[in-house]
Amino acid sequence: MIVDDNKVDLFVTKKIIEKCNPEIKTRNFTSGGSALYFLKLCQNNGESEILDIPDLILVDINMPQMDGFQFLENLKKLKLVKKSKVYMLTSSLYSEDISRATNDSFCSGYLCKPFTVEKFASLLEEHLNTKQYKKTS
Amino acid sequence: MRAQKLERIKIEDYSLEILNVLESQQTISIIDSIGRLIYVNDNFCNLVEKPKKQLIGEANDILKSHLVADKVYKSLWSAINKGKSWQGVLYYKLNGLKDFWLETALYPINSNQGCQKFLVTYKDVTAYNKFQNSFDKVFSTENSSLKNIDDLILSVNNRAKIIRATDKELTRDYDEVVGFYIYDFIPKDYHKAVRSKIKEVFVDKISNDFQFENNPDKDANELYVSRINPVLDKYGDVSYANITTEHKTKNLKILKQLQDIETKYKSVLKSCDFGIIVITDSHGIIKEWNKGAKLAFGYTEKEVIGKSLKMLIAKDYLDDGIAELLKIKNASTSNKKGETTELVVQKKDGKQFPVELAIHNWYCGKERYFSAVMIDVTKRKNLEKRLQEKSKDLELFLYRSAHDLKAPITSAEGLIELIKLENIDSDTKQLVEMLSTTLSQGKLLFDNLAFASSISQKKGELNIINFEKEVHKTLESLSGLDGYGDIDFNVSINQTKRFLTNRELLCSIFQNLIQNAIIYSKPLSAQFKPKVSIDIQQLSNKMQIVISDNGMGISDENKDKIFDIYYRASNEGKQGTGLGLYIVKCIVEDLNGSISVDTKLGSGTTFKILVPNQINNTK
Repeated sequence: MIVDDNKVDLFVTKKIIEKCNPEIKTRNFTSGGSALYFLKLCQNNGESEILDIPDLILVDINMPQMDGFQFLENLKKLKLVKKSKVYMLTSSLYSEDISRATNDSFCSGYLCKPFTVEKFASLLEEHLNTKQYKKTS
Repeated sequence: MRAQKLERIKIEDYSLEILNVLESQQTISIIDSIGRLIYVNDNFCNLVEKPKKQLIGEANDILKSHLVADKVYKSLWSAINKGKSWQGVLYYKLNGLKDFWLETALYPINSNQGCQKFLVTYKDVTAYNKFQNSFDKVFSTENSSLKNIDDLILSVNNRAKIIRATDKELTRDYDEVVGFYIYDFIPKDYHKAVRSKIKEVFVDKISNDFQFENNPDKDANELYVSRINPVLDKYGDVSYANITTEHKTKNLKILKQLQDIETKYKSVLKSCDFGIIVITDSHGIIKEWNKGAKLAFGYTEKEVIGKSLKMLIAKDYLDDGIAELLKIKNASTSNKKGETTELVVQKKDGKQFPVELAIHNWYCGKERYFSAVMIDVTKRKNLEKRLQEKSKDLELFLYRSAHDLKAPITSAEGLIELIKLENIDSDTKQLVEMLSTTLSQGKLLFDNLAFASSISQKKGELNIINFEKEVHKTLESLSGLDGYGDIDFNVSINQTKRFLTNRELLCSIFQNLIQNAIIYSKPLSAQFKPKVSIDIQQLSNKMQIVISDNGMGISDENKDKIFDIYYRASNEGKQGTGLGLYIVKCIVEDLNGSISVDTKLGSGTTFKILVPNQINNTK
């Protein structure tokens, strides 16, 4: 799952992931609200193939209406049955942002834009080491 | 023809006729030995414009004028007392409009009652006298000009024109001097001073003094001290001022000095409306209150004298204020120097405002006094606050702008990443590489800008610094730079104390300076080995950081510019945003440190930086 208000970034991230591993399915959202709505649907529909809770969530910090951290807080409240890995993906270099992202236990990490194949590859590697890889949305 | 025989007559035969002629032609009166009129003729009645009835038995006013120089009157009265004849010119003022100069002759006449009487004749010489003599002359013959001023209360208008004159017991008016100016009584040298004093009284509505000597050239033997008291009308404006003068003859020197001191004191303290000056005794009871204090606080002198200084301190800050004042009071016991502090005070209407306050103290007898000189710093405080807000806004604006401008570049970089993954020919690849470099340059610039604008915000966070570690970390991060491997680094660090400052800022100093040393190093050759030395030494409460290289150096003409924003040494393929040294300078300044540079074109550059240890600030 990719949440980014910038459509170009969204496109780039999606393309990079596809380049890296074409089997990975991605879902793109341009706002935290719509992403959360989708996650709620997933939660309620249990085992449905289409509405599967994503393994990985990449979320931009700087977004209008709901920023990355607000999204994170709302995500916590959802209490998803399946725990997704959440990564902050942003061009922000605010030191507060970085420390907030790294100090939040719910947030697995922080990725600087631009997103690259290498970055995603190392992410996947890390992910695979800790958990059986199934799907990444 | 025989000449007509000269007729000899006895005057007695004609006395009645002569008397009639004189009576009808001359102005005649007869007075008794104490100056009462016992006979007046019609001419006299016409002169004083009063009927006979009212005159007989009354004192002869003509002989009583105080205006004319004493000498004249003294001699007149001495003649009366001695029963002798007298002649002279007297001044007589009938009313505000009419006055006369009268050539007066006094003849003793004896009657059979044996009591001395005088026949007085008058001749009006006003026209002649007015033409011949100005009034001044009459007043200022020799030393006599001031003879009278100390006997009088003179009411003057704001131009010092006398509008009323009375004696000190207020028993009699002296209309003679009405219409003159006070200056007519005072030596010319003092006119300017007196004019300004009178003006002050009319403006400030406060009594004032002036003094003058009659003979400024000679040794002072006479001193006149005049006091000007304003008289207010019902609207509170000064309608006129009363001037009373004392004639001092003793202890003149001391008096004069005292007067000098008082004048100084008054003009400095009392009427100064710029600073607020309050004098208290050792218990904080207000003893003096100047005009500035009145203007600032709204209390009049009456309302505050004898009350505690506490009443001036703003209620919300009362405890702090008193503590602060007591601290100063106690501190100043040992120390003659004035102490300054800031305080929030309160006006009569409850409005609060900040002041800067200087306190001095002195002993007078056994009593200790304190003077508090305050300056209203409301404006300054507001400006300071606004300036702080503005610069904070600006910094934030710059930070946010730099940051947000970076976002599209990042997006573009992402797209380039994608292009790189496509199958593209080598030409395109080259273009993409160049585009990528350009974008990363732009990003670096924005990063630096964002960093520069956040320096003052960051300095508050303190970290414990291990210099050894930080320097090596910096060197490691720079190891990717071209030419890094060729350089001989010489690091010597001597840190003996715990050191606190902001790590990010300190590292940025290292980063920028070492990076510059590497970028602007001269190429390695058989004869030349580029060197960079980093020397960090512990000083008592600061660290001395010296970073020197044997690189290209900076020419003298450019030396002053290197810390300027966007200044760059050259474009010879060297990358740089022109912000590096500007950032270093900003950081050093924000950390209250100092930076100096020693450089010679072609032989190297040495930066010397002192960074204070902030460990003391956290206690």
